[in-house]
Amino acid sequence: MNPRLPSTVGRSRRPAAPRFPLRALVNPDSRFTIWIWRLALAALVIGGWQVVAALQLVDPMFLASPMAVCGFLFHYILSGKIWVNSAVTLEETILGFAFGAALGVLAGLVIGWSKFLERVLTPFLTICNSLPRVALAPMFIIWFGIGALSKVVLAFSLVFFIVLISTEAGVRSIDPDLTMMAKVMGATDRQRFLKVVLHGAVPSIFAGLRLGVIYSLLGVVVGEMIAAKWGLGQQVMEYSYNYKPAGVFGVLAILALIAICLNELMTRVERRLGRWKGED
Amino acid sequence: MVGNREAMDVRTDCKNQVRPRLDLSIKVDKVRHEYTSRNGEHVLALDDVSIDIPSGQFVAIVGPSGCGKTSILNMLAGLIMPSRGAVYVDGEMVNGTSRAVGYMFARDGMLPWRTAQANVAFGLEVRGVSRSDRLARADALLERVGLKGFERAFRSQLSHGMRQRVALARTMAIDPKVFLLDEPFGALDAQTRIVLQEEFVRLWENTGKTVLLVTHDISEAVAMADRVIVLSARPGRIKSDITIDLPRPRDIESIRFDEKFARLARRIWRDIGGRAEGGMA
Repeated sequence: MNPRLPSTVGRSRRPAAPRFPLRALVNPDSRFTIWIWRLALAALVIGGWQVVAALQLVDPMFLASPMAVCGFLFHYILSGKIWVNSAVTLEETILGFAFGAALGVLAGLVIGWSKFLERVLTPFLTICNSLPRVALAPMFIIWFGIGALSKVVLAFSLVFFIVLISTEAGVRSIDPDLTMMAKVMGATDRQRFLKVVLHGAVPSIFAGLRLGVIYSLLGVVVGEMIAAKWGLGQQVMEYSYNYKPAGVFGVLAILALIAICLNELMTRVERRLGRWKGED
Repeated sequence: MVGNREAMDVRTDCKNQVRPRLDLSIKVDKVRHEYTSRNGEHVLALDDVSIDIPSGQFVAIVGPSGCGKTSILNMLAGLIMPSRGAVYVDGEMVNGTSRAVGYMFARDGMLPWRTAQANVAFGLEVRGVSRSDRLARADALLERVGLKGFERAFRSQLSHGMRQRVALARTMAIDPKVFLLDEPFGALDAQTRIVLQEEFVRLWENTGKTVLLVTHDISEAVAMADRVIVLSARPGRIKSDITIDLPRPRDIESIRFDEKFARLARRIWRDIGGRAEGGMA
């Protein structure tokens, strides 16, 4: 269960290393070694970037140096603009995700459970899901205004179908032996649904939710980029219109940080639920 | 249940049939089963099959694959309805799943997110038995099938034989009057199979429960059952009904070397349509 279990202890204690002394440097089981490599790689990329920018190998109008980005972020934080815009984006992301996820799970369970609905709706779902829905962003702006609502709706439209389809797949993937077993053991339809189908679909539902939260952020940022008063997407557009690459990269860094945090949050919730394996 | 009885009465009246005897645990009455297969083919799986099983008897059904053996069990479990005729368990016509029946398959059907204990308790849980009662019962049954110490184990941590033991304990937990076994030992290796056959017989003897076992393994049928019914190839019809008068309690492992066992097995083999008599011996 614990991915860290086969850690350094097991293998590195066996001194198989002498044959190839550098093996310690590429030991995949040493967390220390892995972190050293990660830091080295990050330093290489950022250092190279700094060198390219400092030597002006690329027009500074197009590429800001890491130092410039840091400077921008410093001022961005001090001026408080970071909080206002992050809050707007985060709020829209969470609202779009919450509605999309809740209704997506619900619809996915219903469609997955009912063979009839599944057969009728599948072609429509396939169309809806394969449609690049972010392309609808300008329409959502027209329909729902340049405020938060249009972004929430766009995020919702992305999350809903992603979660719906993975939930449905989860329900469908349940081993028919299990539902059969529940049936012959005397479980009612309701009990079979709650104790077998719902439980069996949880991993797939979470795969959809993890994807959905990232897509929610994507939808919100795209919406803000098209038309908004606030939000990190709007900031990206503002800085790029004004030829301030440091601002663009700085805001992107904030967005990346938010995405990582949201993903980490989902993983933790999932892990907590995964531990809940017992009865009922 | 009242509805069932009425339905049965109407049926028996209009067909002028004798009402099933009450000491019969299972009655399969002139059953025909036909269905349309996935590629649109019309299949007649069973034709005019009647079987009476008094309570407490251990009956095995053998026959070539596709002869509708499993359909009979599915009808008795209420999973499918016969196209013609009717099946009765304990004098009640079956229409829909019944809680008087315990059904065990070749595949264990363990819920992978539950412990062995919680799997065994499943049937009691859906019947609303209190948590402490059902867990105590599950522990006792796990001990009886030789899985003491594995209460907290998940499916992924158990061998095939152990999973099948869990399935057996799960079926026993609901204390059914009738056990339906669909090749429950079929997916096991030869040695584990014999061990589990022996344990099943040991647990069953003196319980007075009725058992209907479907298998394609002739020696399994002869070694375990009181009576073996041979079905013909599709459409399945009863070809012979053989009493296995080997003494009980039986030792499943050594009984295979008994001369009478060999004679019965050879006879069944011939009835199934295996090659000439010399073929098997």
